[in-house]
Parts: sequence; structure tokens; C-alpha cells
Amino acid sequence: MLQKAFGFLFLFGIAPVCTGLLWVGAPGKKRRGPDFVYLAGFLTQLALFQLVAVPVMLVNPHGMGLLTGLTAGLSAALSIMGVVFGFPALQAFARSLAERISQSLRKAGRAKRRRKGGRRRRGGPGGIRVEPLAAERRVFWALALAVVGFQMYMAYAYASFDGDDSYYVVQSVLADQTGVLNRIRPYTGLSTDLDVRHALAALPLWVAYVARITGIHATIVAHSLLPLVWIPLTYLCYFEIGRLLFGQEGVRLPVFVTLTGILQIFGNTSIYTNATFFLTRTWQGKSILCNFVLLVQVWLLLEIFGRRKRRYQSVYWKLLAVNNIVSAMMTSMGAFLAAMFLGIAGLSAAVRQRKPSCLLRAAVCCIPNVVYLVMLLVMG
Amino acid sequence: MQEILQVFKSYCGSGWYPVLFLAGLVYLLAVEKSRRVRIVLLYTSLVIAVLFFLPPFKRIMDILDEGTYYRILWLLPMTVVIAYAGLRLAGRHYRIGFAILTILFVLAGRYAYKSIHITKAQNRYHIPDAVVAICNEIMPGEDEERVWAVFPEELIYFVRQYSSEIQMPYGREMLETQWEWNWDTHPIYAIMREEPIDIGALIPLLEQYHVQYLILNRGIGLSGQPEENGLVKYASVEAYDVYRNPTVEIYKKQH
Repeated sequence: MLQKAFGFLFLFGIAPVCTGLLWVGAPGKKRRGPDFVYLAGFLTQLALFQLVAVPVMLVNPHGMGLLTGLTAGLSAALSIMGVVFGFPALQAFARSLAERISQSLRKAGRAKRRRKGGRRRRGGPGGIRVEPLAAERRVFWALALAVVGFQMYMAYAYASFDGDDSYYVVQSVLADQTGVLNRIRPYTGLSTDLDVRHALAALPLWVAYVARITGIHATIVAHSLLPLVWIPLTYLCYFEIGRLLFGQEGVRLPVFVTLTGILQIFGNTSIYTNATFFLTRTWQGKSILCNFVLLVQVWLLLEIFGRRKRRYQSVYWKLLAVNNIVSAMMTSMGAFLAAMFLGIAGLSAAVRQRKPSCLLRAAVCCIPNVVYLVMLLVMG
Repeated sequence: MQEILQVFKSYCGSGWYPVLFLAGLVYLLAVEKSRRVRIVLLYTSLVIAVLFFLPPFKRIMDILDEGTYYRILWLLPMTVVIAYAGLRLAGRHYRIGFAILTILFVLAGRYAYKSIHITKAQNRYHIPDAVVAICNEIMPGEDEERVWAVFPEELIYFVRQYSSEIQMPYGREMLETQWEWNWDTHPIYAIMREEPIDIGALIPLLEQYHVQYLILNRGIGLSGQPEENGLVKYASVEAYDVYRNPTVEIYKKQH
């Protein structure tokens, strides 16, 4: 139980948050809150895994132990670096949190005193005047959380059958239970050569890594645990996009997040849609690619093209490159699709803004994709 | 072009979300002023949509990965564009807009959890309890090598999601009819998929493929009795009987 709790805390709490702090030190006084820190850290951790997993898998067929040790060690090192370099940001977060808590306490104290004094004001219970907009905002946020919570509950409580699991989930089980990296036929158990086309997308090995660190069976990790991570993470991306489209404070941000949730719940119009993959094959690389990785691209590009100064943009360009490494981790076509989207967006921006540098930057971000695709062509 | 339209129709399925997306795209192209929204959501979507319908582009994509052309449509940020366009159209009347959009999305879409493939989970593995119980019955001991077992086809997908210690002479590749290069080629499966199952014909194959266990669904008819053909009943789990094939020993691990 302890291993499960600490493993989970490390993989999905400490490591992403601390690694994310490395991204906060970038120049600029634009808002970079805990949501940015977590997403940036999570992406970095995934990219790190892909960069470690591919060479280990190619060199050492029985390398699951080595892969786990190396990744955990490097994750821990990145986390420590994040705490060291991001210490000022961490202090600022702590100060802002303390300030907000003390503000809430002061507010609660004032309300209590008013109640004791018998003074009542119009507009709210106990003499607290509740701004109509703030109350409405809370209602819509509660609705948004309910929509996300419903999807998480369904993902945990209901089993969704998909034949591809007998390949991808079994690859994770094999790596976890036998320590062998992609050299056993998932369907039968016989030995086989490395199937490069599938193997270079290392997500099944990441699932095995999560299983090893938490001590939870890889199939439980894939089917019950990871949907509880991917679903809220995807909505965090929708939140980021909504924040850029509607602003942070208004009511329309939670309305937007709720509507995206409803679109997902009712998006199962065919077996091919993003929404179908999102809610019925949440743990598979294809689903994560079309629902998370490509959404991160939309978020980062909106950030980039909303800023005029180059120095404010650079951190998001770098994150795009990291996200491109992650795209290759999800499915063999992931690197191509991510590069295609980025290329088209870069070209659109270059033409619209008459700045060829946008296309150049997009091309530089796609270097990981090119390397991956060349590997796929040469080795596949 | 017909092929591309067919892919698009298959992607749309029974819903209208792609149509809503195109409507939202056109609306935003007309009214949206924000530079970043125009670049990221509108121009990019427009270029991808145009590319998708170009036959030469499909030919190139088919060279890279045949049969997955629909994935180009994943690049369209449909959810974001539909929700944003809807809310922008509603303007200050976002409350009534929210209500109308919710009704529209429900009517134009299809509930994700209304599927024969989604059932109440029997355990945290999200595989049938019967598979877990059968695998636990035939699981080799710590000093024993992995075992080989033949399962009824409805359980084949799940067995190795539970344990790598149980191997099968054939797996999912027999069940996918569209995989012509694999389908229906294993002699044991050729017998197992028929009803009644010809036990007499199965026994020599079990020995030939070193299969130690045979699992049969009691609801499927048999031609010949397993016990009369040398199999030993080992356990009964839910609707299944587990038989041990004594002609193939379970090997000890060599240290």
C-alpha cells in the first residue's frame, strides 16, 4: 500500500510539479501558475521517458529493470533541479497561497463577527454579500467539475472492451512481469524480433514503468488508474485554452469547459472520433495523441501567437518541441501528425504575420519528429 | 474522391459534430478578430480540411500508413471550435446559450457510454472475473515454466492481459476477420471455432502444440467427451470447464 501511495505521489505529483518549476524561471512576467507548472512538468517527464526508453529498448532486450532505474533516477534528478532552480518561484507560490488563505480567514472572521453582532446585509446568508457573478461562476465551475468527475467515475467503474488491448496492454504486462522489452509476441507468448513500428512508440513501456514504481498490476494501471490521470489532464488543457479564449475571471470559462465535456460525452458518433477514443480507449497511445498531445499543441500555439514579444514566446516554443517528443511516444504516426499540425500552423502564422521566422521556429521544434521518422524509416 | 468521402462519412457516423464544426469555422472566419484564434483555430483547420479532401494527399498518406486516413481529422480541433463558436454566438446571453448548446450537442451526438462494449467492471483489471479465476487455477508454480492453454474465443483477448505466465498457441490474430494474412490459419482454432467441437480431432493437436490445459465453454456442444479422450477435469469456473491434458507435462524451471 505504501509503495502504491508513494509511487503514485512521485509519478503524478512530486516529479511533474518539481520538474515543471524548471520552466517557470524563463523570462517574462506573464502568468505562469500551478496549472502551467504541472502540465509543463508532466510533458517533460513523458519526454524524458521516451528519450530513455528507445535506446534502452534497442540495446537491451531484457532492459526493463535498467529502464525503470534510469528513468526514476533521471526523474528524481530533474525534480531536484526543478526545486533548486525554481526555488524563487516556489517561494512566490507559497507566499501567494499563504496570502490567499489568510485573506479567506480574515473574510470568514469578519462574517462571523457580523453574524454575532446581528448585522445583516442584503444579498447573502449570514450577512455576507455574494456577488451574483461570483456565485454563478461557482455554479458553472461545479458543473464543469461534475462533468469531468462523471467521466472519471465511468472510466473507473465501467470496463470498455477494445481488441487492441490484447496487444498494447499485454506489452505493458510483459515488460512489467518478464522484464523483456517488446521481444515477446503479446498474443501468444512466443519470442519474436523487435517490431520497430510499434516499439518506437514507448507508451506501453511507460505503463509498465508506472506499474513497477507503484507496484500495481500493469492492466489495472492502464484500465483503472491512468484514466483518472489522463481525463483531468485533458480538461486542464481545455482550461488553458478556455483561459486564452475567454480570460481567467469570467463565467464563460467554466461554461466553455463544461461544453467541451458535454461534447466528449456525446461525441461517440462513430468508432473513429476523438471523443470515442477519449472515453472508451483512454489509456491507449492513439487516444492520448488525439485528445491530449494535439490539444497541448493548440494551447501552446495560442499562447505563442497571442504574444508579440519573442522572449515571451520562447518558453512555449521549447515546450512545443518537448510535446513533439511526447507525440512520438504515443503512436507510430504521432510524430507525423504533430509535425503536420505544427507545420501548417507555422505556415499560417508566417503568411498572416509576414514573419517567416514562425515557420523556421516551427521547423526547429519538429527536429525530434524528423529524427523519429527517420529512425522509423531506417529501422522499420 | 469517393474513398475520401466514405472515410469522412464513416468518421461522422450517426452524428452531426463535423457539420457543427464546419458551421462554427465559417462563422468564426466571418466574425473573429483575434489574430491567434484566426491562425491556430481557423486557418490551420481550414488548411487541414482542404488537404483532407485532396486525393493526392490521401495517396501520400496511404503510402505512409494505409487504412488510417481518418486520423487526419483528429488534427481538427473540433471540440474547441464548436464550443468557442457557440459561446461567441451566444455573446452576453451565455446562460440561454449554454442551455441551447447543451440540447444541441446532446441531440447532434451519441452518448459515449451507450455501447455494447461498455459494461460494469467486474474487477479493477476490467477483464472478466472468469478469466482471472481460470488463470489463477492453471497458473504455474514458482518453480514451474509457463504453461500453454487453449481458451474459448470470447476469453482470448483477456488471458494475457492478466498474466504472462499463461501462453496460447494462437491469440487475437485468429479472431480478426479483416486480418486475412493471419485469420483462421491455426489448426486448433479451426476446430475450436466450430460447434460441436470435435474433441477427438483436438487431442492430437493439443499434444503436438504442447498444450497443458483446455478450457471449454459448457454452452458449446462437444462431439466426444473430453474424459473419454484422455483429458482430466481440473476445475469448473462459472460457465467454463478446465481440463488438464496429462500427455504434456508441466516443465520445471532449470536453474
